[in-house]
Amino acid sequence: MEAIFPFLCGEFKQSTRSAERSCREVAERLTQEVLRICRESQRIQDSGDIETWAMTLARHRLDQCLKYYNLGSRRGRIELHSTLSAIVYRYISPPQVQASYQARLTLIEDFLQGFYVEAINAFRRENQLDATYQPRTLLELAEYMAFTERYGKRRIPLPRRRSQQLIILRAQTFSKQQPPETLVDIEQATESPNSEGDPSQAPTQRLREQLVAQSDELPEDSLRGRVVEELLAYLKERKQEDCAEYFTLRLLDLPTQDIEALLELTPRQRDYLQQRFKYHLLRFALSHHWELVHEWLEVDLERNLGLTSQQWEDLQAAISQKQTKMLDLKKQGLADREISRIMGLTSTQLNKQWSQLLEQAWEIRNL
Amino acid sequence: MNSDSEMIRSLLLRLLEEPSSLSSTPSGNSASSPSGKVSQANESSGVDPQEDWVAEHGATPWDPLNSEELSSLPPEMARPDLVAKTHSFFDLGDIPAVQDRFQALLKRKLQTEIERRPPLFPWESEVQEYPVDLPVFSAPEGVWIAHLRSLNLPTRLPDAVLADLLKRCQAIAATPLQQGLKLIKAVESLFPDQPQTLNQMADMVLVSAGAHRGSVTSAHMANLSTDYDGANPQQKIALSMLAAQEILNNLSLSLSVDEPHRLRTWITAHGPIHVEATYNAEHHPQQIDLRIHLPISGTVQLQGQEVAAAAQRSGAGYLNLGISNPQPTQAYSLQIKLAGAEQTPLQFNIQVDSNSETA
Repeated sequence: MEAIFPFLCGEFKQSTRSAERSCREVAERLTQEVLRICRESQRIQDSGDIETWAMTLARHRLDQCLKYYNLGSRRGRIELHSTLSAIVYRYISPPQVQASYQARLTLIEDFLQGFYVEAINAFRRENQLDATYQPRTLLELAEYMAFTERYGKRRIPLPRRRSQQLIILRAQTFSKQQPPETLVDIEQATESPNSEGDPSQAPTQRLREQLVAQSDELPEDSLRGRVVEELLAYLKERKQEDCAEYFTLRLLDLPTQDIEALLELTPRQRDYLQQRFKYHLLRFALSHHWELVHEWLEVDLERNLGLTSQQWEDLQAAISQKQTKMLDLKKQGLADREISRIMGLTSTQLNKQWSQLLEQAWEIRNL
Repeated sequence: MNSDSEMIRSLLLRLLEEPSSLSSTPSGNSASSPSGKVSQANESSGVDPQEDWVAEHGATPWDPLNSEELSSLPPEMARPDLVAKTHSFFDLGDIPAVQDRFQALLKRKLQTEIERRPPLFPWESEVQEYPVDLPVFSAPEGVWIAHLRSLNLPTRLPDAVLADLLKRCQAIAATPLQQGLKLIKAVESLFPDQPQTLNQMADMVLVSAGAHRGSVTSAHMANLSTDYDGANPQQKIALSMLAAQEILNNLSLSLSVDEPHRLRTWITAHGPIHVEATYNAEHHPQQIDLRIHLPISGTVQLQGQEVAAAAQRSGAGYLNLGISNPQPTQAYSLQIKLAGAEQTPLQFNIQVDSNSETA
């Protein structure tokens, strides 16, 4: 434990041009913070490895501090401000729904101004500095910026064994103080004229009720989480970063204008991106990750692709002999390579056939 | 094709829905629901989250380690049980992959906008560069700034401007320049491209000082409803010159037979410094007695052409120095340093007004 202070102090002296005195002061404050956490954390105390914990916590703080130091006053604050803005963005709701992107930015600006005041006060309080303390040197400024980021991301316990970041709780409180005059129905507001085929604009109420009825199904939830993660990874792997970003924004239920503003797209470009995304989504669901997707939808092979026995018969009738055989082999649990070999197909051919089959099943299911 | 879009529609709907979120509060958030309604945040319900925690977990208090950023902990230390406790996937936005991507995207987008208008921190009035350190001859913030902030001016000047003015005033105080030139010298680096205006304003500030202190204030500051940053260039120059004039006056002790006694006070964070100078013209040889009160331990140093003296105290109290047979045209500098922080010394100038010889 005695190693923390000399370690931090030495690192600061080596990595900054600050005078020894400044380095010592900042190192001392960080050391106290780390020691306090180690002292108060039962888990750390129980771990039997307090040293390692202390060093990890210290190193994290050191890295943060140096990051801001190296960025300097101007770029450092841009970094901090954009980091925090991105975290609270979803939680700051503008009173007017129109122009929501710009309106949000303005609100975020207001909100963060208040947050910086809170952060400097917390910094003074937690470090027992007097009420007039303010950073004077670059290192002290970096220390404040790093603290502010940490402070904002600090997790606060919530009921039901959950926690939330402090800055998000503050943002929610802030949002509630905004005049609620325009509770425009967003679903209406986001409806674009050419909404054909855009799933987000489909009436969702019924489905929602249905889904609520089967709530508390945690496995379903985590499976869906996996689908989302896999899909994002899949898009990335296909070098479809913009599709992934589009999907992310859709997941967050941002209004169409917001999505366009954030991605800097015209409505036409967004439309095009949407088509491209759909194409990849389809490939994902019917080919590359069909098992995961079908399992999540509870229409996997074990459940006869979710078909009733009548529908199952319909499917058998509709598909080719080859596909029947393929279905049979798949149901037996054979690996694709094996199936390819038995049927004398390349893996591409196999995939294609299989996708078609799944698509047909899908159609029958939705009849 | 039609079946494609049907499929996609249902797929997406399933992906985008929030199955559990309506029956159980998502992790502090439902603000992302399409109606934009503010969530039923748990925090402002007046319930202390810590209490909630204790209520649910019995005697096990909230572990401060839970507050740490998970990503900052190495995988072997971010134990799964911790993750399970702090993360829930009720809200799609809480899925780390989604959250990370969204925040990275947003951050990139916001940075260009923020770059145009970087934020200010609470103690700042402008985006400023911070010194790597407080070198010995640096801005006299800290110890000396308290006094500068309390100068009698129409509006408060930013610390950076005050600090700069003090530095320049100290440098020129002892020079034999006329007062008007001193004022120009003191502020010219702040307004490098406005020599004309500087001349004009220096005249006005001087005239107002000679006649009535308030006149420049009332004439040129009438519209000064804003702070320094909001003032127009002329007003800024005038404000800076007024400040420079105050600083110069505060730091100079001009003695004469008629006015043999001067007292200056400089407020510091530790308490006021008093400098008291008494000119004993009757005394043989003539003599200036200096009595300095320090609020904490510190040193004083007196410097003239043929004089050099120093004294120090450990603790608050008085120090006495004297100048024997002072020369009328000569300025004596008195430098004061307080213990503790590195700092530029505060420098007073003591002078016997040459008129007193003839008086």
